Amino acid sequence: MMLIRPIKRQDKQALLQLATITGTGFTSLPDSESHLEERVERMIATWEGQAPLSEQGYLFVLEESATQKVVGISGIEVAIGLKEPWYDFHVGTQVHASKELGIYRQMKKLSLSNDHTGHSELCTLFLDPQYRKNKNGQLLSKSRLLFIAAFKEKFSERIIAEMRGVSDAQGESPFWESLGRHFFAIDFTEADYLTGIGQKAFIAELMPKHAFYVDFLSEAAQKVIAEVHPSTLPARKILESEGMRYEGYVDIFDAGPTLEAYTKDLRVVRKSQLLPVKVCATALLGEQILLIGNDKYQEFRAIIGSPKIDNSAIYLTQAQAQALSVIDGEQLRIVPLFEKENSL
Amino acid sequence: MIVLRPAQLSDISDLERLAQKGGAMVSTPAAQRAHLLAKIELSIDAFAQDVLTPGEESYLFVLEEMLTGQLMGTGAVKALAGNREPFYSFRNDIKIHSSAELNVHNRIHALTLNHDLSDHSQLCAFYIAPALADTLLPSLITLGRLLFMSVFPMRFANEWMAVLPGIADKDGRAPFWEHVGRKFFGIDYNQVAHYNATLDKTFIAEMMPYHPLYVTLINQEAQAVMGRVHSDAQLQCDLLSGQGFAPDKYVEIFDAGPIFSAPRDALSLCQQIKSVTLTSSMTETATQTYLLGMADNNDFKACIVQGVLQGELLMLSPQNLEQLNLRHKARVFCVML
Repeated sequence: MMLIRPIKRQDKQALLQLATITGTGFTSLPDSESHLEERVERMIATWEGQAPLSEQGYLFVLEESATQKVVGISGIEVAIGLKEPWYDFHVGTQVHASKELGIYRQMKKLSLSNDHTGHSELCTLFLDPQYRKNKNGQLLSKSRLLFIAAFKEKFSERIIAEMRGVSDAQGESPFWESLGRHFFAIDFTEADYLTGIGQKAFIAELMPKHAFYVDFLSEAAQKVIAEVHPSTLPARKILESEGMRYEGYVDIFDAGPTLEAYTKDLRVVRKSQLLPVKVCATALLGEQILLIGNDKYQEFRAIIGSPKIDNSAIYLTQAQAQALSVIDGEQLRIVPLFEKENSL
Repeated sequence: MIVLRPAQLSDISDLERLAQKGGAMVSTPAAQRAHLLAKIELSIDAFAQDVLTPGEESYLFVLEEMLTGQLMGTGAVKALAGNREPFYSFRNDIKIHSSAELNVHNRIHALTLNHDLSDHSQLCAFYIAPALADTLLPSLITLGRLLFMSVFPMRFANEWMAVLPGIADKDGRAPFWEHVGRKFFGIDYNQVAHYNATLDKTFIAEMMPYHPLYVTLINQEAQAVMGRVHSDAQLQCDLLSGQGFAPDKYVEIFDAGPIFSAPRDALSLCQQIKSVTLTSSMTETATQTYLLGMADNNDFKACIVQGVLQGELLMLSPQNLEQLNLRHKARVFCVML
């Protein structure tokens, strides 16, 4: 069985291993031991109620319960941009028109913004390629939403997720080549790495402060604005099915889209419900796949499964209850894993 | 004798002819009779007025061969480049993008649409018949206007400037326009040049970029022509440079041609100008070439003569003196060329 749980200090080695296979454009899990260590400490401090708002964040790992092997990681930042500015480009429209000349033209422009300051962020989603099956990706991504549903008051009323933008196998980003490189003479992979270890604000100081017209970028760069890397398409689809969408903000380096939503509008927040657990000796199967989480803050657990439910209880096996760290009668938060099965 | 004098209504046909020859590449008067007539009338009004401070006046000069009455060139001066409507240019600003943490210190250039030069006096509409390019006559048109401006300082600002045509080919393709202006207008360079010569400047405010344009993002071909003068205007460029005009951080908005400017007091002509009295001399030995300016009330004309300067006396040949046909009260100024 695969389960989601909060990160622990002992997970560090497993994380480092994951980081080595993430590749370019995946800024939130850089291959830097000290940075990872610091981040894990920050997350633990958050769970322990010791971190100020500007530092609060959560990291979850996906664990194979039988082997206790960590195969994936996902995260939430509580309030971005409170310590260092959070930058992205707003994709806007400017109309240049002259009645006298009979000309009307719409020009796309990008302007540096801090509009997402204070928003919560879904971040750091990575799953070992060998485990990209059996809906593990769904569990890894959506369990965060279940956590948010359980502890809404701990998050901002708005939430975003940055999607990895387009780069090629060599790590070259057309957008970076056409824009960033002119302002900062380093490779995208390096900019990417610096971003991951928290240097993004420094780099942003060197980026264009004035709005500029998209028409001045190369065609290749124009094409990838708000486009995701092919490997990120599944992640984008998951979040879009959960109620997040692109609202005209892109990453300042690779122009990957920022997806956003009001937290209260997320499907999992709207549709999840609490039911007491009934532990059974044999598995009782229901009709749909459910995302099931306990409602415990520090001992948060989530799994997916298709147990029977009715109006009074959810029927789990002993193994499932154990994985969720609940005993008979305790409350569980459940929601269908997929939107189309949304009627409980 | 050839003189630079204010344009008159009777010059209209000759001016039309010159305007047609001027083509798109030299800043000649737009090829429209009504437009030209309006310019002449504006100029006549400007000369007639007693001006205490520069405003909407525009002075149009023509170069005339006095024997034949034929016109060979033009030149104009606007008291203010932007009076009722702004004068637009791109200012090439430098922004320092600096990060101590990353040990980076970048100079980033950006073109900003601005009105900074609106309060400069502007030399414009320079045209000379190409066959006369190698004579002293181009100097007469340009230096003659500067002399006029020096003699009537109240009519002009203290800062003067001239827009020189930038790089464009015979078919009217201007690289800067292709990679910059066309993105905003979607029309040909010739067309926008025509609009610019004939329409008020509202369309510039409507169509040109509000935001600074990062030079580094502009196509290389266009970057390469920024501030470069068209070969046809090299003569004009040399004349202005010789006087102390220099290209600053401004370029023209359509073809990125250079904009030369200078404070009046820094110009060598203004420093060398001498008030003189003319006299006739029979002995024409060791003469020098002088630019002569004659101001009679609000009227002004200029010519180039050979003469000998002794103190405040400029001695000319009797024929020259007769041709000038000066009234007694006229003030006369000269600058050695």
